[in-house]
Amino acid sequence: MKQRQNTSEPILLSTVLLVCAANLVVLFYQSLENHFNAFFFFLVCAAVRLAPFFFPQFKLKRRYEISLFIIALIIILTSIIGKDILATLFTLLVCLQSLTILRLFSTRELKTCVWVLLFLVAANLLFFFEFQNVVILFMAVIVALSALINHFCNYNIYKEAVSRMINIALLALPVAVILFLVMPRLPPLWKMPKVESQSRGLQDKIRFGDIAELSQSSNLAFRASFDGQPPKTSQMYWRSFVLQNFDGNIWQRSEYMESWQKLVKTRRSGVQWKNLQAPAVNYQVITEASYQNWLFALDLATSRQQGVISLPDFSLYSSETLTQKFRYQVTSYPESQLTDFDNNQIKQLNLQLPNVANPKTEQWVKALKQQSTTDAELIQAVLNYFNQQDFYYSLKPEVLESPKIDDFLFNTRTGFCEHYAGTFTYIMRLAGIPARVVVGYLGGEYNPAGDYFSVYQFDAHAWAEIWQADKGWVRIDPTSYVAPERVEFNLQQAIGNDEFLAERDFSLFKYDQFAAIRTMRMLISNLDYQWTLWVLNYDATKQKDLLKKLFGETSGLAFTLKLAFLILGLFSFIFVVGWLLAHKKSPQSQLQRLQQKATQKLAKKYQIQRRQGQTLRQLKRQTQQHSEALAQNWQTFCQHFEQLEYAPLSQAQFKIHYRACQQLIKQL
Amino acid sequence: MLTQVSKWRQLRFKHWLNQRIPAANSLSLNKRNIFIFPSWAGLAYLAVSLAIFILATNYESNLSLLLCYWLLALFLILLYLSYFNLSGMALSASPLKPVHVGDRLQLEVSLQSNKKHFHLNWLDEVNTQIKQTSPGREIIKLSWNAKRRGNWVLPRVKLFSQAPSGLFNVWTYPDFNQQVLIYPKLIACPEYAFGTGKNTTKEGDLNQPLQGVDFQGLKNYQKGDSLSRVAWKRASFSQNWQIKHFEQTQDQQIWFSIYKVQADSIEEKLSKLAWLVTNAHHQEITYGLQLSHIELDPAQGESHLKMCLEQLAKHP
Repeated sequence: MKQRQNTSEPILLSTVLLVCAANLVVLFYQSLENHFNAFFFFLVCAAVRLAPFFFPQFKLKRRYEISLFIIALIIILTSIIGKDILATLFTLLVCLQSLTILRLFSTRELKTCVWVLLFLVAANLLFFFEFQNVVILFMAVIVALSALINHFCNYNIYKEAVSRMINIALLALPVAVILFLVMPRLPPLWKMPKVESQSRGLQDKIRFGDIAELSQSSNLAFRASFDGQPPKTSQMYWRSFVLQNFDGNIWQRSEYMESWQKLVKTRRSGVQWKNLQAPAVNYQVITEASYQNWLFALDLATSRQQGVISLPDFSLYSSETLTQKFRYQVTSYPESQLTDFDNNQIKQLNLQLPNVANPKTEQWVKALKQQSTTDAELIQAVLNYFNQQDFYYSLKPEVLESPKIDDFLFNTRTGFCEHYAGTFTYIMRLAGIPARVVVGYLGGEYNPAGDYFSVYQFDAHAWAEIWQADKGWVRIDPTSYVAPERVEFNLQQAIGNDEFLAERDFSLFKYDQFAAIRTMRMLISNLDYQWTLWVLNYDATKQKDLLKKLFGETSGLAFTLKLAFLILGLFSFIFVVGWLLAHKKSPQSQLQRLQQKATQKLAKKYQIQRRQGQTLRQLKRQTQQHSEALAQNWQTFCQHFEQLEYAPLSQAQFKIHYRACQQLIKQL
Repeated sequence: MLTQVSKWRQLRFKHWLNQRIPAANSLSLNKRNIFIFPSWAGLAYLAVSLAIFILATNYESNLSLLLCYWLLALFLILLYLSYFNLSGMALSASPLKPVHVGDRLQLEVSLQSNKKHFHLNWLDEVNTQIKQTSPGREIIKLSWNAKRRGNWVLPRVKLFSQAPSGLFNVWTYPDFNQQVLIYPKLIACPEYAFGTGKNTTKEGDLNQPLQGVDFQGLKNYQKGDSLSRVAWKRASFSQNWQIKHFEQTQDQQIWFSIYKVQADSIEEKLSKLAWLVTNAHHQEITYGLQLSHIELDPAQGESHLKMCLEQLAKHP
């Protein structure tokens, strides 16, 4: 038997539009992570492909087509220079996709285009995992697949094709979810090039003004949910890292700590803390993808989770760069003393002073030291100075002139937390007290619906730590002496709504005074949290827990049987769904059934056979031979049926006639 | 050797197919007679799903994994939908009407269903394609070229579809159990329109003139009479022109004989005879047909014409 299959059907305008729409979304997301060149190239290709539908004379000349190919080649070649391999790969895919759209004239190209799009969506999902982005990307997949359906079913109506595909997609979703929940997880098969992106959030080199700048952002930093009673928000000092080197302008990590960072990356184990004091506070933290390794925790934090490492500066550190949302379990002991791991290093590391001198400050500290007898007195005097002189807490501090500390203390006197923490630490060092700057976040917003705290970038904070031989490291937050509201409440309270997120007028945070907007923001936030908790962080351990909850034991015959039953159920579900979709009632099929029922009844009850080609009305004579009543009934049935078949009816009218027909069939 | 194996396999396949879908005038499509397999595009779709699975596993991305499972679930649902796109259809073929060589053979297939069907492709000789059918009855015309005279058996017709997504090939091979006679091509030969006479070697009368037209005598010429019928021999010595008068007898009969028709080949002779009998039928002349294997006595009417054409078609 010869097999010739005719697949070169023309591509409809609606199909091309659907494909272009899906690609527009996906390639836009793709270009957010890479170049926009490729995206513009796609726009040109799509426009060229769509032009003939609107301007029938339009035909792309051969040499323009070739020049488009050359442009694609140039874009690909430029992406090779100075970019990582993944970016090049995706630029290549985007260019090929654009060229496929340019030459989208047969079924084959249509299919290629859709399959490549599916892969690009999967790649995008590595970068964009927020709930709303995922919904948009999945919608793009649905639109792309509906282009296929539109092509094969020849709908030529977007609405019909898309709505049919949405039906199918929604019905496939439960199946996908069950597969997602029960299919065994594999460990990574081989090492892939790392996903790279700009690091987000706190950076471990801080200039005066850096944190103030970060505080303009309302992006989420991390979320934490406590197992028991959470501590007060004013006590939530989330430590991220410690800065010890100061050059008069920049605070940064000491070489000693950096060597530790390198060490734990290879060893994958850090410091073990001893002398931990009850009570313990247990909580989970889910960080956003920061493309860094720093984690966040309350003092004194320990974690038994693999990949979460304790550094000697009491911070937690991830052995892998955080390219995705990451969830870790922490146990903190707030009452414990922070006694250092290696006491020999303390003085050397934490008394370091910059080469740049601040003569006024040095003089002032000398005077203070002479006045006070103990360290505690000195510290109190400095803090009182901050509190009593006209120091201002501001998100927009003036740029400091060198020598910066002198300028800040005696001239500008407006600063953000890093100004106060940095200056205080410098003063302590001048006075001979070992001190360092700690950077992290302070506070958090409680979400009652999800029972968790959200910490945003504007919660970023810096404070100081001083070393006391009998107590270990003691936290001192000089900001709290300038702006106590910052610690007691939050940033918004401390600086007022006008300055808060000043550059983001559309941020929902700005409208928190309206209860409805606040509730909505909390709701969206909670949705995203649950999404993160259940979808993004669903792993082998969670899977095991879930299976245990569902089936009891996770091994043995009973379990296998139950699983088999589940899978069988799944398949029958798909079957039923498929059947329902295929046999979706259309008005025409309803009429067909009605007609069939009526003629069958006549045949069975009265032996009136309908011959081929005979209309319903022509059966009337035969019914008359039986009885006048039957003929009467038949005639009214015919009238209603003709209305259904030929008259343009509204939904309600259709229903009335349809009911009447059904009634009459019963009466026959 | 290879060809033998493939021949044997083809035979096995035919045998299996005959059991699976026995020849019948009508066929309702269900799981017994529908075949389904992923198309190349479907296999490519699976390959992309696998690529996404590897990407998801290596980057430990739950969302890509979810996308992968969702694509697989869609694949399964589309499998059923592709199957349902053909199933539930009742096909029945009306008998083929005989045609002449070179004409188009048309098979009318009625398609009865209570749902919509999409993208139906028939592998007849013109690759008939139906984009969409609506619920109810629809008539589809499939056509073949009538190439050779004689009995023609309708082959199995492949009906296939890729709707709704192109991921699956769904097909069936209905055998409508139809055969038809293909008559010879019509070649006009007006020179024999009044019959060729019968080859009567048995009676020894080879030169019988126009059969069924008798010479009745002479009549006086009147205006309007054909000049060709004037008896010129008599006119030369008579004042009055006279014309020969012929009269058709009540049972006027003419014969067409394969022995008398001049042509290069037997096929051409048959073609000419086919034209002659058709022409005679339209002229309402009573005619008989003499063939090498059969003699049909003179008669008139549709059934006689049909019988003549059938015998011409069956001519060895």
